Amino acid sequence: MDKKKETKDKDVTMGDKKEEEVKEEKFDPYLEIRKQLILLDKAVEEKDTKACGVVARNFKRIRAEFSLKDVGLIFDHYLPELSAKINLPKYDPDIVKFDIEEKLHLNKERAAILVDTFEAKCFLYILLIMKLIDERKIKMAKEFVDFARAQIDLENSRTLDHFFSKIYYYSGFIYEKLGELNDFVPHFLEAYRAACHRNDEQTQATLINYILRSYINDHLYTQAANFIEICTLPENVSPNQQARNLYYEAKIQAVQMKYPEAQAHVIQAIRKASEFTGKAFRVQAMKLRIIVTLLMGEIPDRNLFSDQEMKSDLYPYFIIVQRVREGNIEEFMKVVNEHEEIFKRNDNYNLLIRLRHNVIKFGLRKINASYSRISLSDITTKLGLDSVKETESIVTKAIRDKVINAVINREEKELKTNEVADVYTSNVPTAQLDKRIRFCMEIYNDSVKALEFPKKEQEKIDFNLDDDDEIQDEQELVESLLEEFEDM
Amino acid sequence: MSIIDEVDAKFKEYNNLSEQEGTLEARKGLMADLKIALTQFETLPPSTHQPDPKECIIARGIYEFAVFQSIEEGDIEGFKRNYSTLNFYYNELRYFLVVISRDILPESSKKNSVIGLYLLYLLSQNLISEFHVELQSIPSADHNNIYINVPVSLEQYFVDGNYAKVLATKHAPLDVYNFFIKKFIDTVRTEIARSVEVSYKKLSIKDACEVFMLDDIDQLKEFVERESDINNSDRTISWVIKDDYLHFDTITIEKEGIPAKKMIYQVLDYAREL
Repeated sequence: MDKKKETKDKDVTMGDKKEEEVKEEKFDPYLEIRKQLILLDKAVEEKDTKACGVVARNFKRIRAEFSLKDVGLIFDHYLPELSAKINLPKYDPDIVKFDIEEKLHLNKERAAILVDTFEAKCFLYILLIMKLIDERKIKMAKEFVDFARAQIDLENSRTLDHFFSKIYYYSGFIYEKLGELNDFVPHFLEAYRAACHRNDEQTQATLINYILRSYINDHLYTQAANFIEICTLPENVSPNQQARNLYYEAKIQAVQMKYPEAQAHVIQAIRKASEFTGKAFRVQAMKLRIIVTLLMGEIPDRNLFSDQEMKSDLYPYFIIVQRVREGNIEEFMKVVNEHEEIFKRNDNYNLLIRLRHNVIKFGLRKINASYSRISLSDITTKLGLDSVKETESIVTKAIRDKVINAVINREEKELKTNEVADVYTSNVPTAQLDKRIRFCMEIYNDSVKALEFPKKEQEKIDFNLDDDDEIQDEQELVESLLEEFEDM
Repeated sequence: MSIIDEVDAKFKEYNNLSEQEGTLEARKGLMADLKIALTQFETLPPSTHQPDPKECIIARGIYEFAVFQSIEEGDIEGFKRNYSTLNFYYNELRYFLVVISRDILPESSKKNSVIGLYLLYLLSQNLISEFHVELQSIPSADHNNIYINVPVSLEQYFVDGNYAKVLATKHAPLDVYNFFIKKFIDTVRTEIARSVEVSYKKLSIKDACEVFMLDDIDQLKEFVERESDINNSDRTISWVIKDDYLHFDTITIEKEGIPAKKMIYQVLDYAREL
């Protein structure tokens, strides 16, 4: 009796809701799933890889709306056979009083047709994997992702690319959580080969980055350098993957002491990275940027440290920069030892130790600028070195490296500064100007390349969600599709 | 007797020999035999089979000895070859092993001494970039290990220009290390030469001997001669011994003019880009 009443009440409220929806379209996640699946079905039929990409990008919105139990419900409905095999947490049947078909806006037969394509299955798999990760059921996620991978290895179609790459992305994520990423590298390498054969650029990009990541985590820089040399990232992949790739490349080059290249790449990586999410990545990249800049003998801009969000994370590095500027080796080593744990955890310790030499350089440069003549023993105390003899040989090295422009007088044990030649009589400023102009032109060319224009014939059905109008278009399309189905 | 036991027996024989002195010739032959025997192991690279831990341990042990032996022979090329083979067992092998068998393959006790030796080799060849790449692959816990620590601090002194401390590091943890340390000091001496010639206008003979870490004036004369012989087109300094002093005379070069041609190319390049 009660039950009946409740459903009736529900009908009324549902009815009310429908009226409301007309006015201010409320976001219904279940309806959204259905919309996406319909879009996907259409995209597969038309072999529209770009639309598939858009669907794959819409995960983020859906992910936030569901709990794992909701996904269990969806699986029950869309993929009942599979759902029976995997043991998902479910709503208590007593609590589930709503009509499942109504809630999901779809009856069973239609659902079975919708998930007939492999793309749709992948879509649901990924949704489940995401939620398993969100609710920290990593073990279960691993089992499921293994299952999903076993399935996708048998399929081959360009419309699947975006989904494959997602599945591999989460595989890597899960394995890393379990600390088994390096075990997985041989599989990744195999999958990478397969992706190359299929010309599947999305998956290639994901895999390249994971392989590099694993090598770098294991400190196998030789292998990583060899790998990056032969594998170039495909061009049409998401900026996130590009940013990651650039960061890894920068890291490898920093270790190889190719500082100018490393600096260029890490700056590009920071620019490509998303401004709103992935804070950890930006912080890590920023740290690398600071160290590389220091290693090149420059002082990073102070405003790098003023970013509110990253301020506290960058604090130890800020102190390091200050010590390097001061040029006292003792003070510098003290700070390094103080924060040793943090630097080791960030995997930057070895790079920081290399800064030792730069600290001396900075110190000498300062002395050179302030004194025209100074005794070697004074330099020894100022730089915090051990003996005059050491200082002497260090100074000779610095003169040779053109850090300072001076001459040592052996008899008097003193350093005498040479007269500084006016830099504007040389060709140095021209070279600088040339470097900067080239940089500007590169940015210009990159931005032109990054622009995207819709194709003319596609203007009617455009799935690009960058624009409000286009969202409207898309929704109208879905609406019309829905009507069609209801007529059937 | 299986092939593994056979090789193992031979390896033990080699091991015994290596503890006695003056057996280098005998060991050379034995090592060649051992390496040939290794080709009969079925699961070692380039085979695609799952590697067998037992075979790996023996192969690793043999190559470790091969590395040290090549130093005894003074064969640097051979050293490089043996090391790169050995590196596979140290770093890459675990990618090919299933998880379970990883425990069966423990880290080699000689690993650090071999890697330390390789680091020294890189230093002595002035391959600093490779040195750092290699250093990254060593877990930070091992950095204080004596075998690793010696090359690491040598490199630091070297980069700083603290040559006095380089010389102070005379006691090597292993005899074989001296081979490369000696070579390294030669490298250091040429580095000093490059630094000193721009830092001083002149040095007294006595001071010069001290700076170049040479024993007497004869050695210095020889060294100066060798230095003057290096005919490099961009050398701008000549070394002359005169009145008990070593003079470094700068060869004045013409002042560079305005590179007109380059400028034209640059500007045209901008115009084309825009």
